[in-house]
Amino acid sequence: METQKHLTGVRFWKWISSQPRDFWFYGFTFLLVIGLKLSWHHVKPTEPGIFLLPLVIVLRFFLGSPFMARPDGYWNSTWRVLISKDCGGMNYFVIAHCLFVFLNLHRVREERKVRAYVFFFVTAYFLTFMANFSRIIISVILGRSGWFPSLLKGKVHLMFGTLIYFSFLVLGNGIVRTFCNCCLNERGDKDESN
Amino acid sequence: MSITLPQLGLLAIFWKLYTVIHPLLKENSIQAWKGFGASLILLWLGFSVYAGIRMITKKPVHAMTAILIFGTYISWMYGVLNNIVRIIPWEIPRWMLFWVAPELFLFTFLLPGLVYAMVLLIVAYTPEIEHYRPWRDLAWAIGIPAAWYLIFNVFLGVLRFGPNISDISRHIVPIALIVSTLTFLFLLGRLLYVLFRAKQNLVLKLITWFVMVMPVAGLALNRKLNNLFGDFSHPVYYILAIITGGLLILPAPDNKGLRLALYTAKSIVLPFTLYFFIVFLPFLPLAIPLILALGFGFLILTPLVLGFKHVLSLREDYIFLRSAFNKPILLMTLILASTIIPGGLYLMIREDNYQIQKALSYLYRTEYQTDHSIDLSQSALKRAIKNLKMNKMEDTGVGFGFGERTPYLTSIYNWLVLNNLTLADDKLQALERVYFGEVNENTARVSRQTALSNKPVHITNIKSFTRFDQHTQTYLSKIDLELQNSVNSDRQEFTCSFELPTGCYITGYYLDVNGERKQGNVVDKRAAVWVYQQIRNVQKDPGILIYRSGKEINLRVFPFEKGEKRYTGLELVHRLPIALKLDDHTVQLGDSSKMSPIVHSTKAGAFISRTAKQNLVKIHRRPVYYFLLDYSMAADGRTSGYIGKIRQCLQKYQWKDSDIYLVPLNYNLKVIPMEDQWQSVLDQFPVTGGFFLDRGLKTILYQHYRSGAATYPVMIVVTDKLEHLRLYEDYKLWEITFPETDAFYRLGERGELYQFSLLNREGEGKETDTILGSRFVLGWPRENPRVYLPDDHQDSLILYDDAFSSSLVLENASLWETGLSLELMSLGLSLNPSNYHQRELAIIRESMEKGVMSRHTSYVVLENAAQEKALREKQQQILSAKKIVDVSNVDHITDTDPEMVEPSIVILLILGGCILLFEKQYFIRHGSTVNRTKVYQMKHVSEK
Repeated sequence: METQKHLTGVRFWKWISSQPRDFWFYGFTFLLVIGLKLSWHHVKPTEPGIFLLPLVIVLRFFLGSPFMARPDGYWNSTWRVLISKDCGGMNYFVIAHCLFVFLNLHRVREERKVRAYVFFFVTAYFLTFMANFSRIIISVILGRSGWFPSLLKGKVHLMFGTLIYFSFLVLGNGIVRTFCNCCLNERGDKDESN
Repeated sequence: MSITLPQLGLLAIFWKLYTVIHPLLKENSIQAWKGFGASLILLWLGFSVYAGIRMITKKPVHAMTAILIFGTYISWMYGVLNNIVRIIPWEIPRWMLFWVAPELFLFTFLLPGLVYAMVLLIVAYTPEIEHYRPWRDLAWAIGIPAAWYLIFNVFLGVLRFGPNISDISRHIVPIALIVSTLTFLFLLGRLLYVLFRAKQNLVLKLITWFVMVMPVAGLALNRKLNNLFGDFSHPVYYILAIITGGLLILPAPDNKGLRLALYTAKSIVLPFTLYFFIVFLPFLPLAIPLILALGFGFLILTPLVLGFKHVLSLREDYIFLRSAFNKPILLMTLILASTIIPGGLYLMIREDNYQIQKALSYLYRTEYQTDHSIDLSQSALKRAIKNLKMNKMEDTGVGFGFGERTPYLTSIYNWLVLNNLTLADDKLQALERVYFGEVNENTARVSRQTALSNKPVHITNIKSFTRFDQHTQTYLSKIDLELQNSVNSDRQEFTCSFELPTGCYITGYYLDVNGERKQGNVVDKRAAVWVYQQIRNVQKDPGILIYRSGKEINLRVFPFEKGEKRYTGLELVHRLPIALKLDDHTVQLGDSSKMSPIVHSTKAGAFISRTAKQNLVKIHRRPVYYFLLDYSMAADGRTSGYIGKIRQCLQKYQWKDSDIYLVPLNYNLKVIPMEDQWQSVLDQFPVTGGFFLDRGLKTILYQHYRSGAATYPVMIVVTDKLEHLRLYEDYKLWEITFPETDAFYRLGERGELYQFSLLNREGEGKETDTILGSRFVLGWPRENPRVYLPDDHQDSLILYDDAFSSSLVLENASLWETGLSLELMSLGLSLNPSNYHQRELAIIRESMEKGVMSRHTSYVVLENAAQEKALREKQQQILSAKKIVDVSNVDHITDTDPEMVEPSIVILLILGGCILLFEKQYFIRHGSTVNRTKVYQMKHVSEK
């Protein structure tokens, strides 16, 4: 095994401070994701939160019947479905945001990285909402109307959810990349064109 | 990797433990948890980030990191172990820790990092071979244990009568021991490393005996020491140890084909070596003390040396073969070959799981059909039962807590076969009895009677209140009980059993705990009983209300100090006035003179009051006769005599052949009308297994009840074994299926009959000349009766077809209607247990939502939030198991109300990874968007 004994603390800190800005954004993303997951863990099932409340409101509008708060989540007695904390889309949000940051941040010019980061965050949030809403509404309607009952539970439900999520991830990533190319400029692109 | 991943697991396990026990922890314990937890997270983060940076920059880890790892982690572990009583106080019951030994996990998860640090240290601080003096290291390595031997046996022996050195030795001795152990391991490791590098032939000779002899010797020694490190007594361990040793000492052939075969064989046994490596890794620090004290410290070192040698040997083979084969082929060979043993083990466990689930499903979850057979692998079932029995054995406390268990493998087995739950003794006995004819005495009934006969706590006062609700036309009653311990001893338990009349249901329960009135919660019955028993064992304050056999309810409260008074009570809903008998007290609820005729129908069945029954028509049903023939292994060779005895009986009682059915029975059964061809069908029926009399009786009763025919069954058992007449199952709930009589019979040698009872299991059968059951029953409905009720002046229940199949959906039902529906569905489930899980979940969900206790739920009051959390966890575990096991929240009761759970983070990570990979591949092929833009611009310009 190779070893290196000559790296001192000073050199280490020099190295750290010489890292590009992306490094700090990646670190921040890592901490943000951990923080979000931890805070989500402590959210009570019926606490509206930023993910569940809009979802339940829109679902109510489309399904045409209200959701009732139960100890385990929001329950719709007409369609007999339960929207709990685990349905909120936090996992999706985390992955979408990380994907956008890790795949696209390096394309953005240095001075526009902060706004790009905010854009990634907001896009990930709305994408989560759209993907989750699509997943649930299609499952409920196809499942309860008798067209595809197994879509409501078990592995079929998870597989369907995975498919929808994947489609939205690809779509979202495409949108973000296009936006980066058009509006935030790729690294060096402007200089080259000039 | 050796720090980040294991410690992530450690953090997760300790976080889980903390969330369960933290309500029971005092302030200083919480501080300790936070302090040690935060410091571990900091260490973990620090080393992980450092490792990540070095990986990204593709630079090696600095050697001083090893010193840092030792300094920080050993200090941390030392601190934790010194404060273990603060972190896990003695009063925390083991069941709350899910039977996890925190110390063992600590060692298991931290030692990979320490081993890594040791290797790093050895590699970094080993001089070139020409400057290395091995004898000096060897002398030191021998000197360290020798010095400790002298210190413990000579100096401390002399000082034993001198001044008290305990205060000094309390910290100095352990620290010195740790430091010297590390030094010893370092010197030993360095010696081995240099020897490997310099004198490979000599080393091979040295370790030849070690890898050949020590594993087998170690296994034998472990067995001799009462399985100190776990049960490795199975011959497979010895065989694999010999094969592994043999493969490792074989000379490496130059022929590439042979070398590849050797490489594959070594890869196959690699999991065996790694398993022992992992098992013994936590005990590494004990090597020196055990070498000193008992001389078998080398037992601990053996798997580590073996693992080291195995990996090196594989590496050599790999390097040799790389010239002839592609890297992917070699890696795939390694991976595939090393999955053979785990894969085989997995398949065996799956087969055990399949067989045991199939056998249990047939016993407890299959509809009672007149022609039913099951195809079982008896050897796999026997092995599974043996393993389950062994896993249930209590830890004897000898050794390191493994007892008769095999480290990790037992847990994996329990997890895969029973989802970490257990199988009750009576179920295990039933499996042995039904499938192998092996009968063990069931002591449960005896112990229950003993427990009930000695009652230290009595009801000293009862208050009751009843009101009639006009809207729902039901009585709502409340009973308050004052209980007092009348004996001169502490920690007494109150138990009381009472009959709940038909049409009366429990809707509330409370218990005063420390002066505060706590309302009970409806939870899964198995989880409630489990948590009550666990809490009672550690002397806390639970109260429980459960259904027992038939209509019997059991109320228990614990504990009672000397002379202590406690208060508890329950709420009931009933349609008619009732009288409850609680111990010596009778409580009248409602005006008994106001008895009105009530027929209340629901989707699952109907309630018919005693007064309404008076309007039904009296019917006398014709008997049909079922001869249940013993075709178990114990009756092998005797079955040919059955028909002669039956003929004698038919002659004696003048029964017609058209009324006779023959039922050959072991764990399979077939109902054969005594008409044409019956003899050939009977001859083809196999003689095997045990005699499953309960199945035979219940099949006949169930089929008669469902048919609605105007006949009733007379069941006659034909067996030479009196012990085969014993009934093991409860027939209280089955009373609706035998309104005429609870009698069944045994056929004697001369065609005479002996009478037995389905409800009274005690005593031998009396000889009888008359067949009981010629009494009248009441047909319902009046026109074309389909159900028959006993003419007994009691309220009755009737089951419709829905009660036997569908799940319960109650909308806008009153409390009483909910109780009635739950009762009917429970009865339906007892009579036809097919599709059990889904139907039981529906009952539990309705019961929990409406707060009406059912036969599958209990009312329970617990003392604190930690107990309630443990209860919920157990309930969730039971309800999600979908298996017939013993000791939810509503999240998991989703068979009818599905939860829109999103895919797990792992799946999403894979999705993200796919997109990342795709992007990478795409840009490798087509260049980045920047390049494409440039190419486009260039083309555009040139075209112009």
